[in-house]
Amino acid sequence: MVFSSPIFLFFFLPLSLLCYFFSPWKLKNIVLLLFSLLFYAWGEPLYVFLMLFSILMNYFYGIYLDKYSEKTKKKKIILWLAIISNVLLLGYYKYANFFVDLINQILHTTYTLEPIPLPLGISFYTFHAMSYVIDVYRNRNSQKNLFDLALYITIFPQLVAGPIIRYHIIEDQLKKRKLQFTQFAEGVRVFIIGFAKKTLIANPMGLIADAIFSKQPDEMSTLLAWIGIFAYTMQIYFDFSGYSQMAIGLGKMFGFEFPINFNFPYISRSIAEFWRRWHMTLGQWFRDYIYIPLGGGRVSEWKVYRNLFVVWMLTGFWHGASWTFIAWGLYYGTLISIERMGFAKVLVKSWPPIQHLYVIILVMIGWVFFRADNFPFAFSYIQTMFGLQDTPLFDPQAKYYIVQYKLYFVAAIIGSIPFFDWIKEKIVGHIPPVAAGILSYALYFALFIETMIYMVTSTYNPFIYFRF
Amino acid sequence: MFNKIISVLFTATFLLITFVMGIGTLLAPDRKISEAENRTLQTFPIFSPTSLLTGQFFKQLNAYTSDQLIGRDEFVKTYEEQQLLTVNRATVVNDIVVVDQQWLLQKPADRLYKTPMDKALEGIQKMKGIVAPHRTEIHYVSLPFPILTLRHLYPSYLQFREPMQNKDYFLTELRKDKTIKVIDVAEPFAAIPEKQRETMYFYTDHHWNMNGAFLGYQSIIREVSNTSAIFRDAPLTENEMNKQQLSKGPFIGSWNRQLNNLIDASADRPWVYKPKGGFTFDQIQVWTTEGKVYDRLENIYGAGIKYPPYQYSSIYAYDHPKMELVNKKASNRLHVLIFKDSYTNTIFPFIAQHFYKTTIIDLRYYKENLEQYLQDHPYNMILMLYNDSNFTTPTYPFLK
Repeated sequence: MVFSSPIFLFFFLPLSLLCYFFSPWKLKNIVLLLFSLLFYAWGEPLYVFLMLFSILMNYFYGIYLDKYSEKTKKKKIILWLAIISNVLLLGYYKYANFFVDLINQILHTTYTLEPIPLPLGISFYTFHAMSYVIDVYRNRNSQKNLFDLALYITIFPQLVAGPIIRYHIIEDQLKKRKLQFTQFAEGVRVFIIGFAKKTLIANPMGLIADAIFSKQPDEMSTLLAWIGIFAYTMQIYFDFSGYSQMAIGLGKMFGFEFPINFNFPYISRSIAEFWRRWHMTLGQWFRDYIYIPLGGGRVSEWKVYRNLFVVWMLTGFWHGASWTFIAWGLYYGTLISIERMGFAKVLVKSWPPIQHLYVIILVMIGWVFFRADNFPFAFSYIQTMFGLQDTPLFDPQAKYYIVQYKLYFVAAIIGSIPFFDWIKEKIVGHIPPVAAGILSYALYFALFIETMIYMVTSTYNPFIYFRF
Repeated sequence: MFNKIISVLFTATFLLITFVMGIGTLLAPDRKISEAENRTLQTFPIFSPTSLLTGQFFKQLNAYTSDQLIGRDEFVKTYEEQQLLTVNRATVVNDIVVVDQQWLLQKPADRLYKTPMDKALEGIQKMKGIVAPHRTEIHYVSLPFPILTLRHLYPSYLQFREPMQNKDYFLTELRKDKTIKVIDVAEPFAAIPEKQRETMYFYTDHHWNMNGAFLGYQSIIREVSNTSAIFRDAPLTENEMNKQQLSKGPFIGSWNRQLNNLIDASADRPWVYKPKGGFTFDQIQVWTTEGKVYDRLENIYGAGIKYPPYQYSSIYAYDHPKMELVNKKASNRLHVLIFKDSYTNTIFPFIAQHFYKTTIIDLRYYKENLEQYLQDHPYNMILMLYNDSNFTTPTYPFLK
């Protein structure tokens, strides 16, 4: 079930809100848990049991970590057991086929493994679970209430696609949270924006990207290749940030405050800054649970770069079980290392438009690897982008996309910069609060209705991060 | 205080919209068919433990809530109206090109479909292998579809080269087999001036109208006569026809139906041709998709002429799994098998007049074992009649 679908918006959500708000406080967490399990089972009726197994496993790890909190050695063993169990669980479902292929390539063997289906959201809930056990290890109290732990891991707004919420951020909210109209209304506003981003911009951009990426790179013009990757750059941002915003908005409706996940990454002026603005919760997770435990930036110089490469390789690998994803991660590891080596100082002195151009071009090149199924396609596509193939600069299809989708391109560009925040700053304070309130109400619901029109009209509305 | 009022307003409005849509959908009676989409709609799924565990129940429930959503057609219509507001000269709405608020055309293919075309070519070769013992003559006839024939109507940025590339690839590969005679009816059409060519197609439907179809029929008979070793005949002429223009009642074209009839189709006035002496069939059998069998031509050709609103299928003919027509007055004793798409629905009685026995099969709806059928039924000739944007659909043999 996706948030931007009729079944969720008009059936699941109203029913869950009704049951949640009319149930007594003691039962609210259980009600939310049941709906979260139903939400997950909707997409994966059998794999819900796998998720329950993961919850139970991590629950007991948490209990034992607490029990041996004073015994460092035992505590460490339990932690490692917990990490290995979770990694094995994720590794089996997500990476087993990849490793079998890798073994066959290296050792020239012919082992076969039936393709293993990838359970929805396993990367996300495994990271939630690991965050829990690591936080308990780091002296947070373990969650004695199994249902509350289950709720932390499964709460449906963030279950299948994040944001990745660390346990210590949500621990208090599981027990103590207020339900207020102002928070609910803020949740509605955030949800509407996310809904609009996904449906009005991400989906049309996705149609363009899919159409262009289904062609061979040597059959398209240079301009068409740029249009394709621009469309994908916008699709992935609006898709993912839109979904994150819907998750945050839904969290607010149920009284939770989730961390933000995107902060206008395409206005960044360095790659390091880009990753402080893109999928922030993932970056924070890797920073807090991998980079810093390895020593972070407080070790010798070569170890810092080692740590960066480990983190970026894992980041790429987390996104997908293929060499293109690993290459994508290492690509960013390399860029960040180069900036750290001194290029950042050169960059910061450059003219700001050059800084922005530097980031956006490198990010778009990175997305080619992310989107491509294999390296030959990725390299060929990049060659076409830079006019290094025997292809024309321009063709009718390029013009078609520009003419047909110009409004969407403009909307995407405006939506990827803090333009509306800037407008809001200019307006608020200059018009009476009542007028501002009514205008805001009218605009949000006009946007909501328009997005509903698009949603109903579209019949195909996948969310590309579902298989991570 | 005002902030609280606004918060309550936001909350109440959001909940009102979501609850009303959900409850309204549940209370409204289920619709079975969408006219605009030309398909049946999902009804409430049947629950079973198996369907629950496999996820099928949830998938069908998703489809059900999408299909039966209250106000669905109005939402879609609003979307299309908004898209049409942006028309300068041409715009694409739901993959339909709207030109000058008059012409509705198909969005051209934007890539080469080599792999699916190769499958269709393999299917033809398989068919050829099966009928070889019967020494059946095979003709492939490519009929002109507007994407190429009316290319001049498209704005320059929609004049993709891929449709012609797809056609060239398919016909070139087919021509490598010298035993299959390939006829391209688009060639005589190309010789006609553009404005005149425009009169051969419906404005709001993807088919040719009778002007174009009759010219197509004449080209088919002429070209098959030229290339066949066993068939010689001349086509009927327009002078031999009684022509009737259907001036009353709206015409609902296939493209316009998908756009909720937002385009004014009053200029689409269909023509119907019938030979002055009538068609001379001694025997007709038509098996329909509903399992009925008709034995009169007027039940299956032009059956809807007196009952507007008109559609292509009601003025001419629907797609039927199988038709058999016998004309003992034909100048030969040939048994001919036709595989076709809907472009042949306008002209099949004219073509069948030229042969002793004509069997017409629409492979999309034909449920029998085709291989067995071809083995058991020897034909003198197979005619494959497809429009030139159709190279990959289940209308081709062995492609289902």
